[in-house]
Amino acid sequence: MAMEPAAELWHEWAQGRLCFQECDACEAIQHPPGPVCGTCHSTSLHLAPSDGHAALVSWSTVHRAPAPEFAADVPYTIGLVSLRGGALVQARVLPGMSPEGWEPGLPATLRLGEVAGRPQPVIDRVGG
Amino acid sequence: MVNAVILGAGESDRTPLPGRTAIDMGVEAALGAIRDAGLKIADIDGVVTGYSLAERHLDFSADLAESLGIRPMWSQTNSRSGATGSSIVVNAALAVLGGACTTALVVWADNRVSGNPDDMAGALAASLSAFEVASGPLITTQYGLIAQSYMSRWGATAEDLASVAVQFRKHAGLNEQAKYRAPITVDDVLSSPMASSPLHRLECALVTDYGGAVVVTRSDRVPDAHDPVHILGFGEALSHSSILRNRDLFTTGHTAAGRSSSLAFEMAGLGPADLDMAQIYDCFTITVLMLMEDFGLCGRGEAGAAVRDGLLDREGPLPSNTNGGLLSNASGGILHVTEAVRQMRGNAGSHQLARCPETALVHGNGGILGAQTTMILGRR
Ligand SMILES: [Zn+2]
Repeated sequence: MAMEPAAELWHEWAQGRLCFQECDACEAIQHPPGPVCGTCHSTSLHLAPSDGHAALVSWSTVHRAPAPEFAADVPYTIGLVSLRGGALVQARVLPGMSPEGWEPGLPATLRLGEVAGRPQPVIDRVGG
Repeated sequence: MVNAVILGAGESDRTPLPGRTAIDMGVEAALGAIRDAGLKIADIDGVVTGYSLAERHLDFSADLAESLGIRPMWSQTNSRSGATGSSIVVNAALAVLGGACTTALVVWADNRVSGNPDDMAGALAASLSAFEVASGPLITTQYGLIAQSYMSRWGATAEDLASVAVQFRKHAGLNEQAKYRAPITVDDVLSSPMASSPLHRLECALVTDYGGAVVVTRSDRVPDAHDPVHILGFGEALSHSSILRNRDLFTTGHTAAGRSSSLAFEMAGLGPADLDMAQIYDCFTITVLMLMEDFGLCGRGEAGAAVRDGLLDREGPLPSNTNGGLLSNASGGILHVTEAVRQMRGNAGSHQLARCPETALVHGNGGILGAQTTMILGRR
């Protein structure tokens, strides 16, 4: 059954497959996924598996939960990482990792995990 | 040359009252603006409004026009997030210049406190994609990610960011209508609770009730002896909805405000050095620093030092956010517009600048540094 790109991506993640949208025409990785490639405007895109290798771009530690489902986690750090070609992914940093000493460009790894009960990529390593 | 002009400005009272609606405050601000313009309600044939987060309206402009007892030939409701306050003035300028109407009332009002919305956070989170929301960010987190990147890129410090809040609080001290007026120090800002690092609570916009309005017409229709503010130039630009789709924010740090302000300066035939005043959308401290650099008010990475040196001070080279801004005065980007008009026409009351500005930049920012609207105002 055909699914919208976003629904398909959530579905893949829930099945334990880490992937992101990729353009058939220009091979750009695009996130969040959508019906049109933001780089070349092709409407032909697919989901491609990812090895989770990324680079740290930025981070912020949240001290007040935006919604009740996140309250038990406070404080928690959210990271922004870039994939090959520069596509940005926002993901929860696993508990126990401290941003002290972090700087943009450090290698980071994404893997599938859960936040507030929802399967999604999480950052499980930053730096060496 | 014919251009659009602002004839008058009005603001509503902002004291929260049970049952006070966004329309109530919009009407109060509108009546003030019409009076300030020297006009009657019957002179208004166009209405453009912002949206409400606290109240549901299918078409806010229709509900406001009906409350004022008018049947305009042109009406619009604009929803451009924080940029709305400036964007609706641009909408009105285009309408009067294009002949859709002759005299446009511009209103943005919201009862964000009196309306006691049960899901304000949810309404704001609607501005984020599901792929951001899933990780648990506040709106402040999205700006925090950008702020952290800015600090890493330029070596900017927490003190640089905090100095913006200190500066605008100083201005609020003279504004009898401002919500917070007591002076604060950099240490006060940095010892206020962390909201989402690196942004502290005192670096975030207030949530208040507000209503603001202006009346816009063409320069060749200005009543005799009236003293208008000319809209010399304007520009708008949009770079993204989700910050994930705009890596420039994290590489060069450039936003679409570079483009919107270039368009506005070019139309006005003026540049940053010609400005007497600025009213800059200040939803967070970082917003002001990055926009200043996009406007060319200082070099890249130099905005923090410029603020600490007093560039934006009411006694300095470019008095800015002279009412205290979103950080200390009140919510609502329309108040950047009404404040500019009042300062330029010399009726800003307790916080009037010693010399009425001849030129001003007014800027609205919407979403997470995505939607940008710049206007250049002048007295010629
Ligand atoms: Zn493509």
